[in-house]
Amino acid sequence: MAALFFALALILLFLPGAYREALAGGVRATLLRPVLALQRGAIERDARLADPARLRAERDSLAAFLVGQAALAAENQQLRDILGLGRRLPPTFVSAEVVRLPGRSLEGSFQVTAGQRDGIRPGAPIVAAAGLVGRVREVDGTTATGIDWMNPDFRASAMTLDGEAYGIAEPRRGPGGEPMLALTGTPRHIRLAEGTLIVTSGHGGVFPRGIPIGTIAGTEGGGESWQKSYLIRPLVSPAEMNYVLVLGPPEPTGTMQDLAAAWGIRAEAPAPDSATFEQGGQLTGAPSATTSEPTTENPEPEPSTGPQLLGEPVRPPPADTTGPGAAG
Amino acid sequence: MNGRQDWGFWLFIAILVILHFVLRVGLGFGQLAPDLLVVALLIAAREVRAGVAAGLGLFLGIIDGSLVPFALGSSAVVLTVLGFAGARSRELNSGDSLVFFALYLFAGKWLFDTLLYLITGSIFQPGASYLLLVSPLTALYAAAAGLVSLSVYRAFT
Repeated sequence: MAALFFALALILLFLPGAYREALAGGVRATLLRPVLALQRGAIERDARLADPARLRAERDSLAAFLVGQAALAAENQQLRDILGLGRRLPPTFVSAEVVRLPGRSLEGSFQVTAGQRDGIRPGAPIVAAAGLVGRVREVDGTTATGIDWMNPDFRASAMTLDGEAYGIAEPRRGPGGEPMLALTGTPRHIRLAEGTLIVTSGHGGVFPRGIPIGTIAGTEGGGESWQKSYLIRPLVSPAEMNYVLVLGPPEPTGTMQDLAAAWGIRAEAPAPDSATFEQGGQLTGAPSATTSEPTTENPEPEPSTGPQLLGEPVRPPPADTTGPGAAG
Repeated sequence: MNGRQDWGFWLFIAILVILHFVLRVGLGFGQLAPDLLVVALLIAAREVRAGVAAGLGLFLGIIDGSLVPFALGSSAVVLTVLGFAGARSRELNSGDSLVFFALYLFAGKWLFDTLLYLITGSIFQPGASYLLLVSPLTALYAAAAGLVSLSVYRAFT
């Protein structure tokens, strides 16, 4: 009889992920339902008590931002109406918390305290105030499971901020065992300097374009082949993956969605000689004067209609109405 | 310990299992709470046949693995093996010694962590240092919790 149970356990181990998740979802919805309800209540209570000063500062920042944004949004809409352009809708997002089970969980996987009822769909990108966290894998009614950038299955199509170099970001162990990412498959003739910001490229449709991933920390390997790999130091450390935003479906604009403006980052003009590319861009952390000054070279900057991340103090835009939100 | 397979004993085991999930998951204590799931399986395994213990391990493993994303099978395999090994440990010592029982719980929990590490080993697992430094401490904690709960159970029976 023991052999039979052992065989059943082995079958479970090698069962395709979809069947395994279906079974796990069934157990969560029945036997574990009271425990998960208790967990949800406990997390909500903790969140209510967590760092009121920080929450107050974020609320004030958002209020200040919204006051400044209202006039710009109205003017933007009027101009768009005149030009016959549709309104660019900001992507929807759901705020949630990340729950890990110490001692049992596989590295790089977690639960999210929001699910199908909140509008979360499988594959949705998960972001934090500093940048990319990961994506949703499975969705239940009120919870979801996701993977972060440390998970061996994580891959993200990535690029430098100005689009000079493209590659795939995948997890690596850095010097001293530090969890890092690697930008693989970049052209050999392009040299990326330390500190260069890497963002999602939007290719493949998994992640929208422009979500900050990390900064270049050095090269990986000897680069004997025609392609080069770089180590990336992710902007979101594991300790910062507590409060996250799960992004909704991309806006139906027909153009590639670029969220760089939501993080206050903007591609600088491409270097004239891509073979000697040195610096992709700088992370400014919040909307600033460098984000979009409409000039003749850049007549139509991205509007800052992307999600304003709750974890990041948002400054009101400058009084100059030719600022980031004035055109689009 | 032997001969206590009445409803009171199984109620005790069920309470340990429920407490495990309530403390670790429901109230969010995580590793601050002892691993009462493994303790419950190890205690129960001493009382039943190896096949039943393996089945109980499989059942508890499915519940435990359901909480962890994409890890359903690994918990099931490890707890099945642990249940079987726990039942077989009666052949080594079938007495009621508390010292042996503490060692049994300690070794069982350590074996659990080791097997789980071997099965789920991925590129960012903490590695052997976890098994040598943290795991013995959690095993000690589980053994102490097991002895305390067993003493409470004995006080009521």
